[in-house]
Amino acid sequence: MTAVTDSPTGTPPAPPTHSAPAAEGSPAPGAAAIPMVAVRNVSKWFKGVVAVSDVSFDVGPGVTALLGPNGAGKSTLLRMLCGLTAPDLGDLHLLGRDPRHDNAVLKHVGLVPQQEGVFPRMRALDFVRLAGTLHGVDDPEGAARGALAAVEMDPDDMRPVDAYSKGMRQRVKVAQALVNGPNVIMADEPLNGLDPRQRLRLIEIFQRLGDEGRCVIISSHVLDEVERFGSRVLVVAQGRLAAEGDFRGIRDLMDDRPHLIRVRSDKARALVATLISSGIVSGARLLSEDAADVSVDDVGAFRRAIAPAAQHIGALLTEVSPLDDDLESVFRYLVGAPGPGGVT
Amino acid sequence: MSTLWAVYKTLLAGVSSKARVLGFTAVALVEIAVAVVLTGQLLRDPTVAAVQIVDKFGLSLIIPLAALVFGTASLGDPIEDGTYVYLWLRPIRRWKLTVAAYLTTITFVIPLAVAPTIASGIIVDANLHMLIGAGLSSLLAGVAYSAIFVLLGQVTQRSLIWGVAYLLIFEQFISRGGSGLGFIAVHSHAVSILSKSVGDVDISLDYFSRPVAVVVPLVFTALWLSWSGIQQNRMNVA
Repeated sequence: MTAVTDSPTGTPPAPPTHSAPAAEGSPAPGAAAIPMVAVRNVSKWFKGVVAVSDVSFDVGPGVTALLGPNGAGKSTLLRMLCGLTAPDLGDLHLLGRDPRHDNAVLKHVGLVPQQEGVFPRMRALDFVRLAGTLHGVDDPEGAARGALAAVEMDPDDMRPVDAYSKGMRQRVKVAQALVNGPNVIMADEPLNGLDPRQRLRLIEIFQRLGDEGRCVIISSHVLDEVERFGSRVLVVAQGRLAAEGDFRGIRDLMDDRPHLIRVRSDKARALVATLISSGIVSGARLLSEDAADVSVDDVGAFRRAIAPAAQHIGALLTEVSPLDDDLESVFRYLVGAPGPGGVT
Repeated sequence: MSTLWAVYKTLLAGVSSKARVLGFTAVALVEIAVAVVLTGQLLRDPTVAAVQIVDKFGLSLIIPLAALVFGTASLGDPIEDGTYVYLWLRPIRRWKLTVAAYLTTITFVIPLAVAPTIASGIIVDANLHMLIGAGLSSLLAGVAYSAIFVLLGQVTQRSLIWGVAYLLIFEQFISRGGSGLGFIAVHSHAVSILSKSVGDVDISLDYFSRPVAVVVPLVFTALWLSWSGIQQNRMNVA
């Protein structure tokens, strides 16, 4: 079931709690149920511009997608979760600890950052081994080779990472996040720049990590990408948590919300009047004698009704096309912002 | 491999661009060439000439510039290009990042700026006093300037511009105005050591006693590095 948060001060739905996997220095399983990732009333602004506003959620084992349009605040949230930047208000905890003030918890965290920069003139093996060394893994060389193999990269490739294609660099970045066998993995748009086969492979890797009981948080602005993770979804829009639930719930939300549809017909006025009188259409704007934008609450009912209605009045339908069947429109709806070309 | 060594090697590789290394090698060769040319002249007072070349070339120009370029780049470059996240987001004590950046800086500053400055002084006026004076003053200047510019690269954007402004406006101008601000200027301490070490050279460089001129830059070096280390935990990483 999808919960929609439509007010920044709204109380988020009570999230499930999970026991964090046994990790050095973290509470023993069973001692206390703590969420692996806990965000409480977190806000962040930059020079007066609100990036994240009063966001609260918990995340447990498995894959969770942070879904939202560009500029929604996803990266800021992930950066705060890792401790890369401090929230202006609220609290964040990873495995029960504040990552900003207790960086020992980072031993159990892997981050795939969004930025593409990598150390110049450094081989993939050296890059990933450096991560292993700094994480204090016992065999950085072996761990690095294993992590690179997991993302189908050749550990013995002598080329520097900055000479790789974008997709290959992305996989190396994922490898450095996996080298320490983290309990919490955060990836900021990790599928960017990957070809379909690579995307599939990475999705499988993240799913496997989630199935192993690790907490995997993937940010994305692509709904279809999130669908392939088959994951729980946190929808972030305009810095606020707009909805949370499983992917199917979010998809239903797309269908259940009011839709704006353009209808072209030689008898547009009569057709719209018929649809309004039958209750299929809740509002309409006549653009010309042969075109109108209609507002529809139940897309399925509209699809079933439009052809018979046209036939009934002897109208010729030339176009029926959705105007807001994109993710941006869903986000706008979820946060209650007016969309372009609204109908009455 | 220790984490400090790993970070040091990474920063060293990042800073060591051909342009930087070759550029400063060329400047160092020019400094030595000038010293050789001066040696060929019939100098009335080689000590004064040596002090002038150590001061004007080394302490006022090459050493601060080398520290500026390599110091600001050591942390500034990875912070700017986003790779710093791969060092910072690790379960290590973050002061090590500052120490590694500082070691990286002096790894370049000492051979490319301090050593040529000492060599130029010795070439012009070869004696033990000049060796001690040029050696101690250059080394202290290199050590102190490196700390300042590592910190600057960490806490500011456009650190090169700020660094040049600091050198031109404060070190070369304000601190020499007799306002007492020379006490916190690296140059005034370095030239004091040079002047005290080589004897009675009337070149208006004698600001502080040698103990003060040695201790103060070291104390400030420790302060700048401590500040940098503390800032590591407070900084926002892109």
